[in-house]
Order: sequence, then structure tokens, then C-alpha cells
Amino acid sequence: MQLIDIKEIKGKIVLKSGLHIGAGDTEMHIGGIDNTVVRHPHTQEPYIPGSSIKGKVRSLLEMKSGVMYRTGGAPLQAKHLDLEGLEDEQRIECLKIIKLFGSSGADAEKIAKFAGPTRVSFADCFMSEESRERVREERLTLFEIKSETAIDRISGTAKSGSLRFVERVPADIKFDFAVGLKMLGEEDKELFDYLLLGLKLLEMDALGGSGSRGYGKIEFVFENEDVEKKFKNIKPFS
Amino acid sequence: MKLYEIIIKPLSAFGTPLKGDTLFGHFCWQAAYDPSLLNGGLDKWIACYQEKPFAVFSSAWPKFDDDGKFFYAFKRPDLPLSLLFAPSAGDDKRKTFEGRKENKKKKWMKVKEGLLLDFKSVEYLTDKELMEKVRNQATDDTKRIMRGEKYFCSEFTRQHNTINRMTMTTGEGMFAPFTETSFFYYPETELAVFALIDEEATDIGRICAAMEKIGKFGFGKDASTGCGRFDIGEDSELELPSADSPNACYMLAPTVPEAGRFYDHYFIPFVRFGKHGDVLATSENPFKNPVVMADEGAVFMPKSENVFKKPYIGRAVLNTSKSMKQTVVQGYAPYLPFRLEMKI
Repeated sequence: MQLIDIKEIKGKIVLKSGLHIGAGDTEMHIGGIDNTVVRHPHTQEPYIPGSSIKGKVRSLLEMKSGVMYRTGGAPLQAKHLDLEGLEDEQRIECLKIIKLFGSSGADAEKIAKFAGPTRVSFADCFMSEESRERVREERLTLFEIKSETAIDRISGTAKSGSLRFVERVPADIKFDFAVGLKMLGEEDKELFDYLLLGLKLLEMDALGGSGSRGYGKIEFVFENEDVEKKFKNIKPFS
Repeated sequence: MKLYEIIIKPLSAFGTPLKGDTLFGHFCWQAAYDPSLLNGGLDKWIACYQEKPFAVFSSAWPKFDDDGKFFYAFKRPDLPLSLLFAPSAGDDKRKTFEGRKENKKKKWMKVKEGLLLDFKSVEYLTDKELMEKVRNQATDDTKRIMRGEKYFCSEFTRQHNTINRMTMTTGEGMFAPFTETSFFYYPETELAVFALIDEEATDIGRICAAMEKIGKFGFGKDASTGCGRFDIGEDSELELPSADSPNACYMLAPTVPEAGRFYDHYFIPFVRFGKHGDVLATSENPFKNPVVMADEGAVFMPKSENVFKKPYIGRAVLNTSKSMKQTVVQGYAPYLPFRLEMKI
């Protein structure tokens, strides 16, 4: 196993709808909002943590591989490669996921033998300079507050106590995106395509919270034209 | 050995502090995958690391421009405050006692670019003062965004969770949210890492190439999810630091000093609960045996002047890993020699 290359995929993430990646508020403020989004501690600007993208891409690829019923919803680990009844194609996909995203330490020997180290590394995505300037010039807000409620099915009106306020990063804001991929041998070249497939699934699904309610729709725009072309032509379910 | 300075520009949060021994560990992983980084390969140089270290890294220290001159901010030496801020003859005792609390806040030591540590005239800075110096060299845009920021380095807690693949939501047990702490440097901060290099083994070009890869892929904890990103700035060769009739050494990285070579030590103990990186991070025994070190900023008083003949102090620490027998911990550290006057 020898490191032959570190591929870097760079580009922009464009928000197509409001994005909510929760800050996990550890303190309450009088009159403050219920669910705030994650902010850069110095600049107080919104950003997309690399962990949010990595986790979602991994979970979508696992969903597509079809082994989630066999793992009981838990992340795929190297020990799952031994599950009985796995089809060869599924096993190959599982190995790709473990190679790309890593596995837990309990199956050390198996990882060392089959997979090797985690290949992929997602950077935190900070707001692009272009968006920063646009927000400044047009005096736009970086955070929108969306109120939501639940409807009482009998009265047809808002249910008491159901009103809540959710903070979102508004649509059209752009973030700088970068992901590194370690190539440990010629056979790792197929991982590049598999990673792009994962990103495509993310584009088709949603990032962050409340994806089923229209939040977190994103679009990837890649710097490299070949990557952009390749990405556009990916059809995950054909 | 030759001394070089490598400038690092942080781009993201860090989960692991940029200390010398951890930087060495990262370089070793790079060399393990890229044999061209060390002449003859990593195994050859690790085998003789105890007698002949091929590279010794310092921790990363802020470098800033103050009125057109460059300075480093090193950690205040781990000497008693009574030595660092000794009152002059005739000073009001009451004022001296009142000033103790203020002095405690001065956690940084300002040292000129030539690395000449003159203990009598050295200036100490608080975290806020350092932040102001770093702020002064920042671009106008950063200054505008950073209004009100008080700290050079801020701690930050992030919440994470694992998604249940069946429900695509969080939940209980292993799917419950948890928090991780990381820290951010003030934007546009520049950090200097000092590297002593044995030119028989490698050169600064290859060290920088490895550092660039580390910065691209991430350093330390949570590297695959965005932490530990940095860019590499300029590198330059420096003269080995010297001083007039030195009798003390100020350490630039965590050290395991050689026994019996020093008659006095001032340090804060630092226990490195080391963990393997890369493929061994997920091995059955990813944890190394703990190593007790003297943290960066320690001051050692050597028994003999011979100590000053070598540009580093300390020793390699072996037998720290159950997963990989060859594992070596960098117990070496570069140092600044200086003259410490004390009333004994």
C-alpha cells in the first residue's frame, strides 16, 4: 500500500433552500430562538461542518448498498462484511464504503487486511467570498427565522404549544467546498467515482435537519470541468 | 543538524494542539506511505532514532508583525512568577502584590526574529494583547468581521450525532447526540514551526511537501471531518539560536529530558496519552502507553556546557505501543539557550 496521490475535489455548495445544521444549543437566552444554526466562533458566520457532509454522504451510500436492514440502522463496520446472505455486489460496495469512510476499531485485523486507512477527508465549508460581498452590498441577512406549527386535525387550527421558531441559512448563499481523497494504489481510482456518486445522492436528498420538509437542498458546482461533467452525467439509479 | 522555520496558516478548527511530538508522528505516517521523503526509507531512520534523530519538530508558535519587525510569541517560561516578574529594589511591596494577578495573565513571551532570548529585557503579553498584535496585521475585512473578539484562540463545542440508517434521524444509545471540543485561531494567524533536520536523511523541501499534505488532509483529531486544515507559507533556514554565556534552556516542544544532565528543572508535567494515527487509529490497541513529558515552555539548567553543543535536548521514547513495536515518540525538542540569573 503506497500513497500515490491525494486528489482534491474543490468547488462550491449552493443552497437551493434554507439550510438548518443545528448548533446543539447548550444554553438558553431569554427571547432567543429555539433552534439556532452552527456558526463560526470568531466570525459568527454560518458554515457547513465537514462532519455533516461526511455523515450524510456515508449514510446515503449505505442506504443505496441495501445493507442497512442487516446492520440494524447502525453505521456499516468491517465486521458486517462477514454477514451471511450478502450478495457479492453488496460486499464490494460495503468494502468501498469502509475504505472511503473508515470503520470502528473493533475489527482491526480485518480493516488492516482489506481496507487500510480512511481515504476521504471533508473540510469545513466556510462562506464564499462572493456570497460575503453580496450579503454586504445588498444588506441581506445571513440567518432567516422560520416559524412552524402543527395543525390540530379536528379544529383545523394551530395546536396549542406547537409554535416553534427555527433558524436557517437562506437559499442562494454559497460555501467553499473541498474534499481530499487519498489514493493508496491503482485500485483506489474507482473510489473517486464512488465518492462522486455519494455527493450526487446528497444533491438528490438533503443536508442538515428537516430534509423531508424542504430544508437543505443543495447543488454542487465543481472547479474542475471534467469533474463537473462527470458529476452531471451520474445517474445513480439507472 | 540545520534549523528551519516553516510557516503554517491555519484554515479550520483544530482538535489536537500543534505540538512537536504530534507533528513528528504525522511526518512519520507521511514517510511510511512515501519512501522518497527519507533517504533509505522510514524504517532505517526509525531504527537509529534513539542515537541519531533525523528530524526534531518544535510546537507551532504565533509569529506576528509589530511595527515592521517580526516577533514570535512563545509560552511564558514555566519559572516561578517571583523570578519572572521580580520587583526592583525600592518597589512598593503593596503594588507588587497587587500586580501579581495581572502578571499571571501574561501567558506569552515576545521574542525577536533572531531567536535571541534576553531574559532581562523580555516582554510578556496577555492573550488579549497577543490578539491585538495579530489583529494589527490582519486585512481590513477580517478586522471588520472580528469586531469584539477578545481571544487569540477560542474554544468551541460542536454537537455531533450518528444517523440511524433505518430512520435517517438521531435517536437513543449510539445515535444520541454528543459534543466535541475544538479550537480556532484568530483568522489570518501565522504560526511558526521550527524543524531541526539531519540533511543526511532529508531536506526542507521534502519536509515542507509532507507538511503540505498533512495540512490538506487534516492534522490530529477529527481530520476527516474538517479539523486540522492549514496552508504552508514560506520556509527559511535560520541560524542555530545562541546566547552570551548561557546557563539555561527554554524548550520549544514537549520533552523527555535525559536523566542526570540537568541540576535544576522548571516545568509543567504533560502526560501524552498518545493514540496511533492512520490505519492504526482503528486498530484493536490504538492507544500508546502514556508518556510523561515536560511541557513546552520548560526551563532546564544543565550541569555541563556540553549540553549547548547539540541543538536539541531530550531522548526518544521507545516501547510505547502494543500494535506497532517500532513506534517511537519524539521526546526531543529544540531549545533557546539563555542566561538565567538567580539568587540561590
